[in-house]
Amino acid sequence: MSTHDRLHALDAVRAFALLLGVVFHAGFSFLPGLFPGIWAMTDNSPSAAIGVLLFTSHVFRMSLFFFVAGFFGHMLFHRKGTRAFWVNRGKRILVPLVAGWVVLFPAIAAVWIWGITKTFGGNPPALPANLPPPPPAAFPLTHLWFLYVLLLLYVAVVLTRSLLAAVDRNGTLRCVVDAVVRGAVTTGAVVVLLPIPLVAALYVRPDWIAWFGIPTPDQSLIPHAASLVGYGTAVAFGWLVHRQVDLLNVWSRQWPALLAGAVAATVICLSLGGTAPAFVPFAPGLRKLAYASSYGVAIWCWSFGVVGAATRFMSQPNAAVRYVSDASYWIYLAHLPIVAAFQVLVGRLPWHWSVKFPLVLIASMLVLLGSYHYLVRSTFIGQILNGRRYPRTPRTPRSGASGPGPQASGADAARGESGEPLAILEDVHKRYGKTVALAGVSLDVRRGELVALLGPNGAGKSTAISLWLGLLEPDAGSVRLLGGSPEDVETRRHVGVMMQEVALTPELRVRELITLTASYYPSPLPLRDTLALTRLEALADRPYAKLSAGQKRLVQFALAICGRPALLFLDEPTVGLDVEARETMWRTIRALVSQGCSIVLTTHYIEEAESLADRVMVLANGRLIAGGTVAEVRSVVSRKRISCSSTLNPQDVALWPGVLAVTRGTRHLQITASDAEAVVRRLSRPTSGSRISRSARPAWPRLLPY
Amino acid sequence: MHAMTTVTLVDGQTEVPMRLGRVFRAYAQEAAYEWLRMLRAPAFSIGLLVVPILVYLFFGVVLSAPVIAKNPGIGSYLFSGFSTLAIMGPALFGVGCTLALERQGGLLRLKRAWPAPGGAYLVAKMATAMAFAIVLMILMVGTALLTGKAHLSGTQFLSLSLALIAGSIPCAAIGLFIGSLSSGSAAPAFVNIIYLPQLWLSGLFFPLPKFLERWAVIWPAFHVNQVALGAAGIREFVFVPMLLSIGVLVGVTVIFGGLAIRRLARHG
Repeated sequence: MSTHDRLHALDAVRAFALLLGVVFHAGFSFLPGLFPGIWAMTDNSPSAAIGVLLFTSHVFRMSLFFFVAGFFGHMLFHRKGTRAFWVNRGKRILVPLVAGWVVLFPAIAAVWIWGITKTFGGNPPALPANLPPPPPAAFPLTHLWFLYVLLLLYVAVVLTRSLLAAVDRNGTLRCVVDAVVRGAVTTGAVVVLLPIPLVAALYVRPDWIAWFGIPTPDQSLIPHAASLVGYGTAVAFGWLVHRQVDLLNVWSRQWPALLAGAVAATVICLSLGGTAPAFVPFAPGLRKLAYASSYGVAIWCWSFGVVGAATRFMSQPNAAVRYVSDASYWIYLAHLPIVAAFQVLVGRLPWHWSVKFPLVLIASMLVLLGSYHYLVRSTFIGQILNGRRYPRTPRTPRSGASGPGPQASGADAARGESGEPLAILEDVHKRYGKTVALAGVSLDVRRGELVALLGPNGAGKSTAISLWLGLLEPDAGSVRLLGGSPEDVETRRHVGVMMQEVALTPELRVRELITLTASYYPSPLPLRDTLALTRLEALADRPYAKLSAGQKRLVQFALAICGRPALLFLDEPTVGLDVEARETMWRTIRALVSQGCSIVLTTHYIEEAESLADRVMVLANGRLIAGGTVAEVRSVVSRKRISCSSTLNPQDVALWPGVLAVTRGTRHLQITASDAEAVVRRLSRPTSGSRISRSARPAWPRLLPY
Repeated sequence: MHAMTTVTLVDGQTEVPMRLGRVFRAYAQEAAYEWLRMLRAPAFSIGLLVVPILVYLFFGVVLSAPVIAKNPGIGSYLFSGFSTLAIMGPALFGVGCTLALERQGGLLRLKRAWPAPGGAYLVAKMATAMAFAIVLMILMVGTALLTGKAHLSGTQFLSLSLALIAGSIPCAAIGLFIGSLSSGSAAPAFVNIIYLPQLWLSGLFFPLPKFLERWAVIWPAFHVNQVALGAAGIREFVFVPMLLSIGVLVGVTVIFGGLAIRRLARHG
């Protein structure tokens, strides 16, 4: 994993942590034992199950968020430099904090007043006389406290880093720290060592309400020590982990064990503290120490387990995950008044919590996602929160539009500005058991060209295509597709495929198969056009099972082109087609190439390659044995080798028309000829003194079966 | 030829990500066509929709009428048991056998090569199993109401049905696991080996002998039925805590679904 790769997994983790916060607050009114007035609404259907869910999520969600913030903080700091770092943090954190508070605080206050009025029937009780005094620098930060604390922690981390850099000029200390971090992560000791400062801070805090874990610093501009220690550890450790990004891979292997440890530590906490929140502090003693220790271990087991699982399963870009990741920041910022309003709405209804809680959550998410989509994603707010403003609708070429405009733009874009080939195999080796499928093959396909792969059965053509499509992994060598990994689904959204042998769903009709396949692509051809291009209009409503073999191949071709691919793989496409159907296919292939589509086509037929290809690559026994234009390859493959016993002088024979090379073995003359027939005729003359033993064998033995 | 000269055949916008709406649409299309193709396969649809109703009518209504007359609670118990049998069919056969056949035919490999959304195929299988479960529960409830052998209120019918529809998910996960392992021809045999014994050994239709009773808890069908009975409030026949059964079913879903996904991701 390179430090310059986009870290999709951690984007997803950050979103997960933020969305867990929405779940936490959405469930808060259902907590058992919640005193009326503590939250905007105390629901009349409390739930112990929700208590367990909220407890579990609250154990780690903020620490996980701060860890990821530290990780990305280090990345940003070292990519952009100090000044750009602070400018970026100012835009992404300080502006949302200030602007968000101004808008959200009145909304939150209004919902709280509404809820409390409803709870107490318009007569809220007087505040108790023995309320503790407000903390120094009291300020209602609300749920935006995390932005404030994050800014403070960034200041602390950057100052510490500057201090260290000044003291540790040759980097020795940093090497030691890196080694300690690596050792702690690889051995798994990190989940025990990292919580130690937090456990100490929590244990010495006399008013610690243990059920809620790290005390939330939302009441004052001076955060309390426990939260600074807990979240400061997370940010600092995230910062350090980004110095060795490959440590994420360690967690991607350890995640099952980490999550198992997380569950165990959480169960211990619940057994010591109860499934419902107790609003009284723990007395000092072994129980408090055991609880704090388990809590600390649970925080990091959950956090690293989640990071590991995400690294394992979510490292590839995914449009849906990316969308949610982008939306999550807005959702978290805006959620509290909306969630609380729905809680107030349903709080007195005589429904079960299992209905009300999902209802609050789903209704809130619909409002929040809708507001993100229409008010944020494509506006200046999205620019501030996510650093980019997405276009309202992605520009797509108009289907079926006539005239050169859209065609030209599509083709130009497909040819692209970079000179990198669209598909590359570089020194690729692939074996199946003892059988060598490809041995050091390098191939590339440039923009707007058709490359034909020729070779007999078992030459390695289909293996090459499978590697390009990410269906196989090479034993050695590298594979690139459209500048990315072939396993990346985003890359394959611009690739069409027609395989050699495949059984499509027999019950579906032709139009349904095309519609389904087109749905995988961002900007597919209209069904009508796909049917017209492949001459399948008359068969559109026929079930696939009732088609002939040739018709099935045409349908498979239609599925390959329906997504308007920039790169098309056709594995022996014309096998089984009649002449007319083959002409139709060839015509469409030529049209695709003329519009900038790159095509890889495997075939046994030299005339097919001759008719369509810009370049021909010949594979045999897993090796690339010839390549070039059709004419060049034809001249190579038409060479014949003639073996004869002869008294003729090799130098004289080399001068004959049609002779390319002559060598004399111990007994025979070996002649390589481009016009074997003429050479054999001349050798056969009685006066030549020659006796042909093996004549007119291809110079590339067993190269092509035709 | 008109199409060729006027249509933009190549999408040059390679940097534009797929819109979320289109991703959802792909999931919806996959699920809709999976449902459609299952309905169009009479071997599946008739077998899976009609046979359970006939079985319930014959064994759960006609043959059990004297027992139900003595203890009406038995009618509810049998209704739940035969409903469990019904919803398990599409989940195991529909998912397991079609997956095995499609793997064998290379369709999964092709879908991996196409930019089909990662989970769309599996979600479609699960959704179809649930859709069949919904239809089956409508038919089963209709049959029970017509014959009057299950003495349940409307809320109880609804709760039981919802529990069984959700219960089709762990069964579909088992189906996925079988389909990801076996060939198309072997899959029905494997499914039958899993399906038939557990129907009887879970005690869905009659009390088990003592020596078998203690082993009923190992079968997912037992827990699906327990959750359904618990949801409907038929306490007389709830033998284990509902949370335990839910936990077992979640575990079954995670383990079998996870193994299937892992295998399909590696081998297609």
